[in-house]
Amino acid sequence: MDASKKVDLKIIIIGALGVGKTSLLHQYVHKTFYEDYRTTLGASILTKVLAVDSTPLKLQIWDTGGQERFRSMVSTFYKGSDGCMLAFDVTDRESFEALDNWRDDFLEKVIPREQDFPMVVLGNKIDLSDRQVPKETASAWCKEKDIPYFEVSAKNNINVAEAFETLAKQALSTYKGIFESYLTDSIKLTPNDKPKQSCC
Amino acid sequence: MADNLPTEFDVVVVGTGLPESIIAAACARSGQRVLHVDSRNYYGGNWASFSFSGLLSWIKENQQKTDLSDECEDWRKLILEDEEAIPLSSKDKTIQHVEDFCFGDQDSAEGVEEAGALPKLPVFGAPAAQGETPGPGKESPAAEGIPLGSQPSPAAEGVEKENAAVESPGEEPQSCSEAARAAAGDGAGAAPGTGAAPSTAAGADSAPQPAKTDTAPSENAAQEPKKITYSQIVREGRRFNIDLVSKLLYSRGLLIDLLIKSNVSRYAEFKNATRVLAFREGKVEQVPCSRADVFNSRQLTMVEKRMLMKFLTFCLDYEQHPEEYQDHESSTFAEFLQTRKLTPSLQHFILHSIAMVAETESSTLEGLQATKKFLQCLGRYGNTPFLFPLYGQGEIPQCFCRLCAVFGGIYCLRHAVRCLVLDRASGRCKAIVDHFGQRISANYFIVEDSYLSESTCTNVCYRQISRAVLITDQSVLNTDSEQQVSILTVPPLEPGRAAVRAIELCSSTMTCMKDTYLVHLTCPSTKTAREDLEPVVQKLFSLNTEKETGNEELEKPRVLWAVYFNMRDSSGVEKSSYAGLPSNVYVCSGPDSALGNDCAVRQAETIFREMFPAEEFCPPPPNPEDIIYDEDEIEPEESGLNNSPETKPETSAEESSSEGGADVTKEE
Repeated sequence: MDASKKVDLKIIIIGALGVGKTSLLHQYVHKTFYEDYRTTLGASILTKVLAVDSTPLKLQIWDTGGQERFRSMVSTFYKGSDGCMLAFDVTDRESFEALDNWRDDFLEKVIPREQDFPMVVLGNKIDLSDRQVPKETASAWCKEKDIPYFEVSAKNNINVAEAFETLAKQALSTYKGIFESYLTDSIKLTPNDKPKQSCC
Repeated sequence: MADNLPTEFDVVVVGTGLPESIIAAACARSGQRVLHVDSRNYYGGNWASFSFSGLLSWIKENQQKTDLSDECEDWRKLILEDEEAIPLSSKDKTIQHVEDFCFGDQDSAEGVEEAGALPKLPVFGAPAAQGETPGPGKESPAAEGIPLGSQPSPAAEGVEKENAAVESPGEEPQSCSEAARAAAGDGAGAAPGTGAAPSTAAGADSAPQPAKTDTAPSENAAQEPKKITYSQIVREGRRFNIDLVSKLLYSRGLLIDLLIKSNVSRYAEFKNATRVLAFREGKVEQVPCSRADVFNSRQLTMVEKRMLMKFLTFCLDYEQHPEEYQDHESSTFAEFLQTRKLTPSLQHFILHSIAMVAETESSTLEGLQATKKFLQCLGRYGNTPFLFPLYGQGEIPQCFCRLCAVFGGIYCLRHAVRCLVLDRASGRCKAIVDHFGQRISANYFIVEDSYLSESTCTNVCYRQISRAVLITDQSVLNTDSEQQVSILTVPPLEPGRAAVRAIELCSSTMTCMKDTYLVHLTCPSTKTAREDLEPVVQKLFSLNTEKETGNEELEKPRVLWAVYFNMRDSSGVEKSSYAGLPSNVYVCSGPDSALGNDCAVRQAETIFREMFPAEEFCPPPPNPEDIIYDEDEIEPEESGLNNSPETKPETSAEESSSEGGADVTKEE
């Protein structure tokens, strides 16, 4: 495959407030972790280029921007997504129980496809000792929904890359199968665009 | 939920339409604490876009005449002695005369589920019964084949049904058992039935097939448009993103410039409008606008080509040649064009499709300026001056909301506001009371017009916009490529009426399902939307499901479904027209009827500058998102597309901390 032609995939990360979505994202992309809790301020989409099965991928990972606090995510967030990361905090039972709602919410908003939508579940903060959600419970829920489950720690960088890469692989294979890839390219506005002819 | 909500902010914004969302973003960017609320469960207000089922709900809501008597005024108890309250409206009154029509067989869609609709009850057992993937939908050969054969069914005799309260099949997700029964028993539903089986075995196998199934039916169908049924529209409902507002973005316009400057463009993608069309002597024609178009046009004679190029070249810097037009400054542009060496068809193209100004009212200067604006926008991104956002116009306000959120703005949908609270002594607004009875204080308040009560708006004279949205099966102008985004201006059919602007969207704009087109019609209202627009619809389209005998009708695209409505145009209203509003309460208007978005952007910037004159309006964010490269196997992209020097130090810091010594570049 032509290395200059990367496959663009949009990944979104959803889950209750405070489970560590932004930390997971920063750990994966920047390999950094901030101890103090800070709501996402400023960066809302991080991009990572990687190769999966010798296909170059550009993962555009969208953070919620804090709008999940009052369940007011813009639908723009969901549109065109190729994969979804569901996150909860293993020390917060409520955040696990909310997964059903988050998953349903997501499925209601995306355009349905033949195959199941690429999804993974991350149980974060396994580095903490006051666990409320046993591994078996979470695994069972995920197995029932047929979604891969990863126990992770953004703080100690455990399993984070594996989770993202699994999702990326799933998203890529689904992407390849989708009919809409016939659609012509769209225009992304950049500050330094030069006048050019479009192909459509 | 509302217990967590802070009760003190710098700015409270009520309504999530475009102007107020831009203001919210600008405020958050400049460090203000922003609370942004909307009484509805969706973003955008009258700028919103909907899936098909979402639009049916919206139609139903607006067709109901329920007049909520003002609910209990308990909140009045929260108003103190030295305060005054300005109640806000509890029901939106900006949409009227909603009429929808289904031209397909609606009965066969009974019980058809929107693909992906979730059952309300928990589901146990067979995934096929869930209704989640009731079938591959458009890709399945069965879905194409069966409805084709069964047309026309008895009910579909060109009957136009006006549905006062639309039966919207699939609007509400049904319980799983109902869904399964419905899917199985549906008349046109052998498709979902058979579809259900492949879904359980779904895997890589079924994926490559779509390419083949697409060609098979088209071979049979030859030149005929694919027969899309109403039930297919319902099933594929989520592929529709139907805008309440129909606009395009000028490639050199205030909105594009703002999107780029603020980096909000990051959240959206765009398609070129590919064609500019005209309606002349009963036919739809393509208007050549760029040099290349003119050169390649087969419709224009050599003489016409020279005439047109000469005139357009003059328009591009007309101010340098005042001698050419100063004698005509008091004439209309139409009259001016007659004095130029231009054939009638060229005059038509220029007046209606390029300048897009009114024949009888627009002055020569207005026409020249409009023509110049059009020409200046050519070539920046494509052959026409216009872009259209992927997924529809409704994305744009949301993109600004996202920027606001990312800079700390707090978002609450489903959050109505009961009243504004004024301090008697100063006359300033100090707080709002929300529908939970919570007081929330702030220094500035932005309220969208539709939230204001009737008494506040007593002295306001509103105009109206007539709108129609059609789902059709073919383009108004068939050419070799089906994927076209076109703008067509239909001159007034009668004197005293307005020109009608039509924007036709293909499926690759992600606003409609494959093999359909979405056609948006707009004009300033003279009467009800249907009265204003149906005559144009009849000229351009065929409204009957059965084929007409005349050849003319055969060629015209068929309307599968249509809705008409009037929307209030609150643009251009002087703030002083609103009764009793304090100086720190600003009003944003709803959508205007112009093609571009300048009105919204100007409003937002004006209001922002009044509130915070020392602050920059939507500057580029200081930390644009970075790309990190994993492993060295991928060649890094060229760096250097960066505007702001302050980001450079960031880059080298990232570079040193990231493992593997990967190169870091900025995106956009």
